[in-house]
Amino acid sequence: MLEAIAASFGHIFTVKVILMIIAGLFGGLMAGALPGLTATMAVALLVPFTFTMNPTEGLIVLGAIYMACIYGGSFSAILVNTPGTPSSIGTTFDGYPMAKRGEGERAILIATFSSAYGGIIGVIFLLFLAPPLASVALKFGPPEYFWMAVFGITIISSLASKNVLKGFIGGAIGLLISTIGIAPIGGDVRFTAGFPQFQGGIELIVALIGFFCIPEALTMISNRTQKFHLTEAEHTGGIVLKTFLEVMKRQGNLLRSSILGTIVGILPGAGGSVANLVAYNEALRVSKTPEKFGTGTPDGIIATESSNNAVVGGGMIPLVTLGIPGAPPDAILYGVLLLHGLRPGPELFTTHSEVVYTFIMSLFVATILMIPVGIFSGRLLHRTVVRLPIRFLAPIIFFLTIIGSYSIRNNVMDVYIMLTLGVIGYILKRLDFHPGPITLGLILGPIGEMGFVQALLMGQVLPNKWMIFFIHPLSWVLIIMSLLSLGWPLLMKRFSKRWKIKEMTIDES
Amino acid sequence: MKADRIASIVFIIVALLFWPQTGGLQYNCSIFPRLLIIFLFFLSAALLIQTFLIAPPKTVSFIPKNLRYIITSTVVAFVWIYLLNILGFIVSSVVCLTTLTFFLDLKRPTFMRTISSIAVYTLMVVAFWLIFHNFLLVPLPTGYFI
Repeated sequence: MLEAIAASFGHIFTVKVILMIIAGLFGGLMAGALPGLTATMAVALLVPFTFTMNPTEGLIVLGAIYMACIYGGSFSAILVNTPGTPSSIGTTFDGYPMAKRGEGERAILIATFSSAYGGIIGVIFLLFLAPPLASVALKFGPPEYFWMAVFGITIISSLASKNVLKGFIGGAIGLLISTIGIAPIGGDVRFTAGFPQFQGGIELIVALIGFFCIPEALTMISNRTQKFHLTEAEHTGGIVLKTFLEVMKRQGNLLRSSILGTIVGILPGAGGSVANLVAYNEALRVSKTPEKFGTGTPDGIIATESSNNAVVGGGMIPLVTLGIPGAPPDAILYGVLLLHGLRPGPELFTTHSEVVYTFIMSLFVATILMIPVGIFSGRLLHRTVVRLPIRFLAPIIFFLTIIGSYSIRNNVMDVYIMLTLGVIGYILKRLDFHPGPITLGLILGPIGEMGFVQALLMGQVLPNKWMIFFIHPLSWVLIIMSLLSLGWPLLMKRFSKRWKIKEMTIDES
Repeated sequence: MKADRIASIVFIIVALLFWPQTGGLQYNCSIFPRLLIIFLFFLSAALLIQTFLIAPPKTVSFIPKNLRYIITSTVVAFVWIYLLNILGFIVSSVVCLTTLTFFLDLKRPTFMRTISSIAVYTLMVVAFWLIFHNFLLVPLPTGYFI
């Protein structure tokens, strides 16, 4: 292994490959920052450009694009409250409030260092622990996937701490929207109101753009009398180093979120969209100041950004060891490997070890290079957005939402759906139903339904088919985690009241 | 609190409207949505009850500031989508972007501001069109124009 790693450096550290990585990083960052262009789309759209390259170079460029795209989603999440990719939903919760109070540059820097940290941890796991971790993914059957979706939904109790009931209603609406179209098992058409255009379902990215971007643009319009959208911060010297040290001090959060991201990445079908919210929830639960979450605390950004970039390495673990893509972009990489005559699976490490290790090490190098590239691009984008008057910014957001939602399936109907959902999202936002729980429902709906129905079918062999949800030990782990996640905010409220009473009695005495 | 009451009633109606549509479906296709509908119904009912039990907190008015501008901008956006297949992506985008910018401007538009806005938007839209059309190979909508 060490020989292969040493040989891989010889392939990577050439001017041509480094330039290719930097170009891939810039491309990935731009794609990630544009709402609508996901990592999957960016990787898929740029596959034809790698046909003329050798397998190693092709994989290196696509790996850099993938890594940067996940990170680039944080730019729009921080600057305009719109996640560029579903992996950055959680970044909006604290990144945007920071940008609003004039700390946008700091928020971008936090996202940059956290993303790089998470990316490196994911790659380390991929390099050293791939085979044992891949076996964990195989233990996940349909009941476990169902319970994982339930666990994901319980995160709402933390996300919507102001009104949990409204949060869960939002989640239920998201889940219900996810069932529109052809059923994944059985194939019946549901809730299309007779419109054939709805048979393919509501595209997640279309809904995401609608629920996040349009309400934000409409909010800007309602504040049109203000000249600018964000507060411009005074430029402070040494902000890069200060922020780097500030992020590195939070090793617990960084490490926990990165490991969570890697684990979620290993599970096929989950990906960064689930990982970032799970990590955010865990960071909030562990925090000594949970009340600061959602108001613009660095810990929120650190959790989401380190976890979503750790997914990149994590998702590749089942891909290279078992031939199972962990996340949708990994499925594209699976196809690229096949195109170049490499069959992903256990023998990949032995038969083509040089290609595999070069690819893994290139991800490591890309993650490091992402820091200067990200700082440069992020600062540029921040300055542009901060100085753009609302009369330009709001129409440009409309433009980006239209191009983003159209380009997913080249369908104008998707743009109408996006705008309609956006208007509904705006009304719901005014009623205190936030987009986070709704999109969480949309993400987890297909995973939950597939797991639920498949588990019920598996349960036919048992005396009581519903018992299938409770007979596996891993299911119980997830059930306990769900109960803990659900009850935690209530427990914390009760304990904090007790602690306050204790403090008051001590003060009085 | 009144808005919450109306919202909870709307969600109950949504649940009641969705339920009959699961009637003709196979068991495997209907079981999950049915559970969700029941979930939504009970949560909305709980919210409705909550509005009667808990004293209303002081909240921001449901009606936003500049409602006229919000409605008009939304209408312009819908017209923009409609025009994509008639005027084409570039022309419809430049027209609607310029319209929205002038509509949201706090000052009266001058000739120079108009020309510079149109020029900037044309450059931006053409750049996007070139990237999507030539580089990413995404066919953007065309109509009588591009």
